[in-house]
Amino acid sequence: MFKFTFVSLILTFCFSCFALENTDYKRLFSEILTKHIIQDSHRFDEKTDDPFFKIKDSIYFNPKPFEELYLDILKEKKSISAFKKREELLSNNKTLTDLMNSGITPPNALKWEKTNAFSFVNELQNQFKDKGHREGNYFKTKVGKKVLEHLKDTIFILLPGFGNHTVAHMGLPDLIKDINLYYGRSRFRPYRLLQIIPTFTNYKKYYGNNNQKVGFDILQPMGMELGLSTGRHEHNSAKLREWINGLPGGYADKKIVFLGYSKGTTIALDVVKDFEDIRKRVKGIIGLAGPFQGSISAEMTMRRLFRITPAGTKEAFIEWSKSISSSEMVYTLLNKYADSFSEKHPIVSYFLSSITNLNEEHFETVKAHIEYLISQDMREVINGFYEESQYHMLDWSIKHLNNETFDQPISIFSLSFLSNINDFFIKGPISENGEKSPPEMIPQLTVNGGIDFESFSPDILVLKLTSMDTMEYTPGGTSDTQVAWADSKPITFDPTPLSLSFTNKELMNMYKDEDNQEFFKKNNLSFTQFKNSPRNKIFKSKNLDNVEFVDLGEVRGTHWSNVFRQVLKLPGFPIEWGHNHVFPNRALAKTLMETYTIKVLLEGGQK
Amino acid sequence: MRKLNLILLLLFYCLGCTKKIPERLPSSYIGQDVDVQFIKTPNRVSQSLDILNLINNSANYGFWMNYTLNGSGTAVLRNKTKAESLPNQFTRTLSLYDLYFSHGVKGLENSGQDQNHYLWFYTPLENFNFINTQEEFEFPFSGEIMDYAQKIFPIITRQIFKKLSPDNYVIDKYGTTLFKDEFRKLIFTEYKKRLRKNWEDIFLHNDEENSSSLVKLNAYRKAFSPLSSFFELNIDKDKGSYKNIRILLPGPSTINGLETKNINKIKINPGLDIKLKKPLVGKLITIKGIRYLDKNQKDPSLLENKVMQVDVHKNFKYRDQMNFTVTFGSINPDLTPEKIYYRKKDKKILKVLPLNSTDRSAALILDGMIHLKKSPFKRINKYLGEFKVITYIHQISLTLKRDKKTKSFQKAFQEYPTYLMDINSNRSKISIRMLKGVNKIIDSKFLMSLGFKCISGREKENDPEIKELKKFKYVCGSDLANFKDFEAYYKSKFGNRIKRKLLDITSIVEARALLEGIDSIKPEEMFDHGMPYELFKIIQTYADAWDKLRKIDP
Repeated sequence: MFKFTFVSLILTFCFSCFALENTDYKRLFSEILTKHIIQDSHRFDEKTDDPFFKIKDSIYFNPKPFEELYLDILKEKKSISAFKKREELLSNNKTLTDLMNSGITPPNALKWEKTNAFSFVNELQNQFKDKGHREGNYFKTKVGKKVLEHLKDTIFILLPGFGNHTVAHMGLPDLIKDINLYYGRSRFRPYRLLQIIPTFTNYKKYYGNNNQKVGFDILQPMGMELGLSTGRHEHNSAKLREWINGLPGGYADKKIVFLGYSKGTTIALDVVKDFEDIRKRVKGIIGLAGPFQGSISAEMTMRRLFRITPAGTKEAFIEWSKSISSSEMVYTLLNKYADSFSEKHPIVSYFLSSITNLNEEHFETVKAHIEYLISQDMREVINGFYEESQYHMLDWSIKHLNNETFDQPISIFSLSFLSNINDFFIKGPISENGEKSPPEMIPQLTVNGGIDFESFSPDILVLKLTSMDTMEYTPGGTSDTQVAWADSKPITFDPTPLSLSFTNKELMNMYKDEDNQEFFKKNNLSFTQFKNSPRNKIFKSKNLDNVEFVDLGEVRGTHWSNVFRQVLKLPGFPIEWGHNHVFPNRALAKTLMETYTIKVLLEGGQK
Repeated sequence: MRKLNLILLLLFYCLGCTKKIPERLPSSYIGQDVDVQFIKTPNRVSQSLDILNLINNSANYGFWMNYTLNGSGTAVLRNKTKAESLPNQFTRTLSLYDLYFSHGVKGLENSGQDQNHYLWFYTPLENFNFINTQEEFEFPFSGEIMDYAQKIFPIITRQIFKKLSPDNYVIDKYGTTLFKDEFRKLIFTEYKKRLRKNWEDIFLHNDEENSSSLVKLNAYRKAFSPLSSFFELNIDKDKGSYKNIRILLPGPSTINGLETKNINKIKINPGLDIKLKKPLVGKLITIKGIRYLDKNQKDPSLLENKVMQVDVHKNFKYRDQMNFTVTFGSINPDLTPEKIYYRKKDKKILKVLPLNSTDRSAALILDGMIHLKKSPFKRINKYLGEFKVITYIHQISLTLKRDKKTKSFQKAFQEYPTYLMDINSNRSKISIRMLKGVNKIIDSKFLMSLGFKCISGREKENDPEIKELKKFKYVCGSDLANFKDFEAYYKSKFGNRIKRKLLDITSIVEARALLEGIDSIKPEEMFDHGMPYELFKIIQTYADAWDKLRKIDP
């Protein structure tokens, strides 16, 4: 007994030597990101004279843990106070200035100096001090080479989000092109448009013709390679496994870290759950606006759709959906949905109904998208949507967040996106002489009778319109328009009770579900405890030893703008054309890699 | 929130109307009334587009920012957050809109362009002899804008677009726009014609159960649609920039039978008769109800000149301030701008089409009681203790001041400031009628000695104002106002030296001091601060009516 205790003590001590507290990672991540943003601003000679505004526009930061911050916002009684509180906590000028001026804070771990992480961070610090740093290809810089060296046995796979099979451009493009060029691949995976859906060059060919031996790499399934991205997870995860196993030989033994963007996070969780061979290779999942607890937007849409049937339940809805054809269903759903939307948001519904007044060319594009949607099996789409809901993800957590599913060590990172609608109208400094950029959300009319597509972002407008219902359910407006702040954190971080998000009936159904009984027994939870206890207490299970949850904090921006240059580009137009989001996705991607590298080095290398 | 959207829609109505007649007229135009939009812009289209974009951006900024500030977290299952009240959301939206707009104006002032004056005037006008002499106004993609406007705000009149000719207006020495006499009289006459026709249509449909539903709906909408709108923006870095917005609406009406959702059961009556659920208790007056016109009035000729007007004035020199005025008045073609309230300080305030804002028959009426200070003299308390008070709101002018003074635009945009409302005494016009019934001649003489005019209770027994008092032998009244040029039935000089000796001299002095002070009390001291919000609710009824009529399936 004594020996066992002693060994445990040593192990615990050693672990604490190198492991960082959650807040340490958040600070580390934000500090590195800040420095990259400042350095990259100089690199691109951006207009912003004062880098502070670039930081203010891109980062939300408070060194306190998420739990504490979120509860502080929830304490506010008035909607407007909650909003102001979140800004005060996360966008405080002094905190952000301190973040800009600080170095990279050594973590609170003993013996940090003796790890390889120390020299890596020093290298990074040196780069940030170099005012004349001109980067070129990141992977040819000193720091980039170090990343390649330390992560040579690892690949990052960027998993796309809901609806991504219709998107022609790769995510995190400003860094992805560097790694592609590094390996002698074309900057972005070539594609051709089949009607409106992009069909990409075969990935085996694209990743099979590298001009050098594969070390660390960032890969990305595109188009229909994961099946219908709006479909069910089990199909996507099976396709993902097939995709991974089909990668050229050089990738066969690599450890995997999934960069799960949005639904990519839940696909990553499912592939780990479903396939042991993949599970053994996966060392981490980095959720980028990942709906660990579901998407508020999906939840609201599902609730609205279920109300189409008199019973208002998912079961009744599915039963109803079986009785009609797919296209009939689309029209019924669209009509009913528009009706209920119109009641609540008359102006927006008027605006949407004016879509038929688009000129012929634009209307054809919209029509093609709708027809494509109709050509899909809507039941599959609805189910895919359902699996993004908060209710489904709670059920998922109850069933799978345990040692049985996660039988291999894994780190789950969460990085939240948070938007502020003010940014849709004003970005950067506001001068006293009246200068400011035009709003991204509102089309600016031009003298030739058109719209200024340089300043107007269709993404922002669509994200805002599709999230009108969700605002009421997110105190302080804490969401990235599609995923609420708390939902983008694993449930183990969430300090609120489930009764905040679900009705008594919904929770009772879940509590009585036979498949969930093991969870409630193991955790000795009564229904009242299940309903009213903070979620992070309920899920502080002893039956979850292999998962390390790491919070990377928050960045400022919308669900799409932080990962893509612009999702809604007119088909066939080059990526550079029209409005591009200004969020520094290159700095973000670099920071993610470097933070992961530091973690690996602190733990003695990738195991 | 939804209601607020509609109010904003109404206020920014001007946006949807900036266009020429599209080649394809919506079917609802056929056989409809004709409105003309007069536009004056600088020669360069890009300058006009800058303004159009600025208005659109500012309106959207105000709306969406408020939507987030006041809409988030209000529907969570536990610990719901509370939104501000609707009037407070209105002032916040207005402040955010204005902040964005003011910053944009600063940008235009510094853009190196010369002084620019923009004017848009939307009016009913069917005098084709006149219309045909006016030059056409061309604007890019106006057809698309019109289609869009038709979608969001079904326009029930035919639109004609003309340039505002210098023959029709002058700019006075203060830089204020004045319509020339002939043009002004023409417009006033057209206003009356249109209002009369609208009421004739409404009464016709009220009486006919089986009239065409769509035609009926359109007729009813006219009771809540702007009759005329005016937007003026002057950008001048040296002399100062300013903006005026004016919306002229038919006077408030009552809509009945909406709950049936059956167009044939819906009736519209002129005027209002509202009993407040919670009386508004002010320092001097307690308001129990609100009235406007006589809801049983069926004669269009008596309604053809009764209007409500909303004015917004912004002098960009005062970054954190804006004036908001609501007038309940009557149209008088003979009224000239010189007659309207004027002070040097107000030089840039719109003077194009003055309303008669001293006409009690067109005023909004507040029914209530007066509560004067208690006097140590029992006799005074006996006479002055309980008075029926009728307050006539001719014009309420509110000064909107930001809750936080803007130190810099950068900081202001981070604070999402709102406006606080203050009644502006100098620009408001309020008159008061105090009434008391007495049976003894000595009592009536006492009141007369204080300046009251007493009549027999039966003398005006059909007058709704003295309905409750006609059982008394004498009804004594006194009219007071916070402005000079008003005429009223009970108005008489205070005091009467001969009768004064009949009463205790001290009591009289005391009582007169109390009464004479009333007309010098500023309106904001008379009423509870809730009064501006009650006014806002009346404006809201227009948006509500539109929203409800929108949902009626013809």
